Amino acid sequence: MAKKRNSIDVILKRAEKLFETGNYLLAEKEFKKAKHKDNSPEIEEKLAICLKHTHGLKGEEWVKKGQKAESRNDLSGALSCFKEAEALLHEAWLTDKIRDLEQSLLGGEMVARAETAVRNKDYQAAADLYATLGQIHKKETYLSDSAVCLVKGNMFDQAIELFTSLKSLDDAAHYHFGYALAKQGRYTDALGQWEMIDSGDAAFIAQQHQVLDLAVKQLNASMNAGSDINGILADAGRLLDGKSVHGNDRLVKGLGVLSDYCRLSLAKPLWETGDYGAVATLLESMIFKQDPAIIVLSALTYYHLAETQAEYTRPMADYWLTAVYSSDLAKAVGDDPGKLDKVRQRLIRMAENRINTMAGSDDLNGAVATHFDMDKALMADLLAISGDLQESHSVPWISTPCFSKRYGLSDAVLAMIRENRDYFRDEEHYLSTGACYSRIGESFYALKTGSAKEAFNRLESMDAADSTDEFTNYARGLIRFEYGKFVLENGEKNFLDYFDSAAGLFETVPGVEKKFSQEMMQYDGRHLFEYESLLGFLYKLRPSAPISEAYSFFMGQVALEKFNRGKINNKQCLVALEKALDVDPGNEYIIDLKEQIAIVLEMDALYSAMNKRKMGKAVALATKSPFPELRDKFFEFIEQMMEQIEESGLEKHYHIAELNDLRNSCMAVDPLHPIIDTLEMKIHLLGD
Amino acid sequence: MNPYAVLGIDKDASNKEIIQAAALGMRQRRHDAKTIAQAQKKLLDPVSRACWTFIHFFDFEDAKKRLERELDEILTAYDNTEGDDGFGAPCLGIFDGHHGQ
Repeated sequence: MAKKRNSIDVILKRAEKLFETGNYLLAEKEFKKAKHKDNSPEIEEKLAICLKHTHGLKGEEWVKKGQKAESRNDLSGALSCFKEAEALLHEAWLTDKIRDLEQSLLGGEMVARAETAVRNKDYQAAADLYATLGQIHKKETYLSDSAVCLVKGNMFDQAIELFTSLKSLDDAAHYHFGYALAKQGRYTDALGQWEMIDSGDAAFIAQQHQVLDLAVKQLNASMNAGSDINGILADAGRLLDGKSVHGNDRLVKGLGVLSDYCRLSLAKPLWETGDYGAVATLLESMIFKQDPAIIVLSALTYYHLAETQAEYTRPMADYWLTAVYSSDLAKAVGDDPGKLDKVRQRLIRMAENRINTMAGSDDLNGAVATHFDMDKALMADLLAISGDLQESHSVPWISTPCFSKRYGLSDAVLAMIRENRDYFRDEEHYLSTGACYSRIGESFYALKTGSAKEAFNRLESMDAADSTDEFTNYARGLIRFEYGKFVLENGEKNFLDYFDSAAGLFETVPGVEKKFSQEMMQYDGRHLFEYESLLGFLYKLRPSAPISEAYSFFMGQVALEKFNRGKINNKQCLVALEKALDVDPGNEYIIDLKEQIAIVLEMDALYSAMNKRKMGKAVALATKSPFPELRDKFFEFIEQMMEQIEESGLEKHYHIAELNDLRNSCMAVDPLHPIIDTLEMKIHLLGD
Repeated sequence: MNPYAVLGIDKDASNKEIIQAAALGMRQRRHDAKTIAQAQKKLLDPVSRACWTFIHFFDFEDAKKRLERELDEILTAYDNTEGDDGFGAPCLGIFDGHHGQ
């Protein structure tokens, strides 16, 4: 059996069978056995085909083994496998793979050497090794590590150069880059790097604060040395925008002052060349806009700009009064208070002229002028009551409400107003002055500059519910009152809701009530009925003389309107007028109106009687009437009737009889009336 | 109109210098006679002159000095650094630990 199995024919037969079924691996084995026993070209040919197939399979096997080894981080094993595969497959990618693995094996060794160098504090060597690794692997992390080692080795210049060349940095790189910059005195740049690190480490934060202090001092020194102002301003801006200043209010203020100093330095040449637009741009970015000198500069800049550009009128008006009442003007003018006042008043007039010149016709500029007028009066009052207080404050004590608010002086100003209550000419003057400086001052200003709606909306949006002092109560009451009138004029039905506090307002400031009453007495609008309702509502709350007079007037107006429209007859009209007189018995308008209605009534009756030739009734009406107008009318009618008789062509005796009737009627009313002579003369002529 | 610029004089010019500048301006015809006359009038009246000085001359140096003093106060009060020798703090190790990634 063994002989048979190993015979050449059997081997070849088995080899052929395996070859035909594609099992080249076993076929190769069998063909090799056959070749040893009896080689032939046919066997060689088949064996070559088998080898071609099996090399590919074996190569793929080695590739798989190599990949597995690499995934296990067995770089040496992987390298062997890929070399075997490369020998079988001769593929280019395998050549690259083998080169990479060889470099990695070399790199690992270098990393180990570099780490040893770091441990030995041989930072130059470590930096070199990491730099080489970076070159080999084209990876920035090695270069970053190299730069870190340079920092640790105090080779700051080289480190900065290397860090600067890198595209992306991690926290370690940012820290060491910043550290190197700080060591080289580039404090602002150092903080810029440290900004990128999100760390709450106490030691790191302490270093940030140290470098921040140094940065501010450095900027200050640069400023004193007259270095590039734009650069200093930019650096100060970067520091102010950074995280490291958070919570350090003093340094924030310092940087703000420094920035403003730079801006002033930049503004000076612009001012001198008359480039006020550029100065205004710098002023807008000023941090301490409330600085007295900045206020003066702002006022002057806006004054110049407002000469040709209307949009600067409002900012000029905002700053002007505070500027002209500032100590800067007082210093400039000198010790003569009389001259100072004259200069101040002249400057105020100059600003007013500018406002009026630029105002045009729109409401906005009208509001600016009104606002300025209000502020002007306030400043004069404040100056009068402030005494020498203005000298004891570093901020302008005499300032408009918006600046008082900015300086945190509003409460002090209000206290001063209260202390000087006797100075004010009346309660309204006192309360309106305080209202301007109160927490709802802006809303009050909106009301006074002509927008009750804006005033009310601002009031609603303000958190001033807890303010119940006399000034806010007055301002709130007045705003609601005026807004109620606005709502009424807009035809909304709920207008009475806004007058709930009107009685209190009138009680406190009778001047408001009087003014409203006078407005009502001159009313000529289309909301007669609504105002009658409002006045009725107010009359119930507070039946004062001005409200009674206005209500009575409106009752009469409404009665007359209804009478004219035919909605009530003359008798109903008279009843309504009687009611109006009950509200205000001395109301001359109603008394007169009532008389007019009575005359009209009697005239109607007289006309009716005479038209129907009821002369007895006509005579009775004319005789009994208290109104001379009625008798005049009677004789007018008689004259007309006399002319009609003249033209009627009646026979003589009828003619005489008619004229005699007229004469008798006239005699009954007024025996001395001249028309009687005329009638008698006509009768006499007819009798002849 | 800046009367100082019209007459070509500085802030501290005397009345005599104002009159001389106006006369010179008339001769040289840098501006029309009315403008020069108005400028002279504005500056010879003390109240008017104070107004125009206020409007056209802002004391930048005084304002800057105020800010300088304020800044000095802030920096003096906050001087908790190690002096003027620069940044002397040690390099922190909290960000170390990944060499050879």
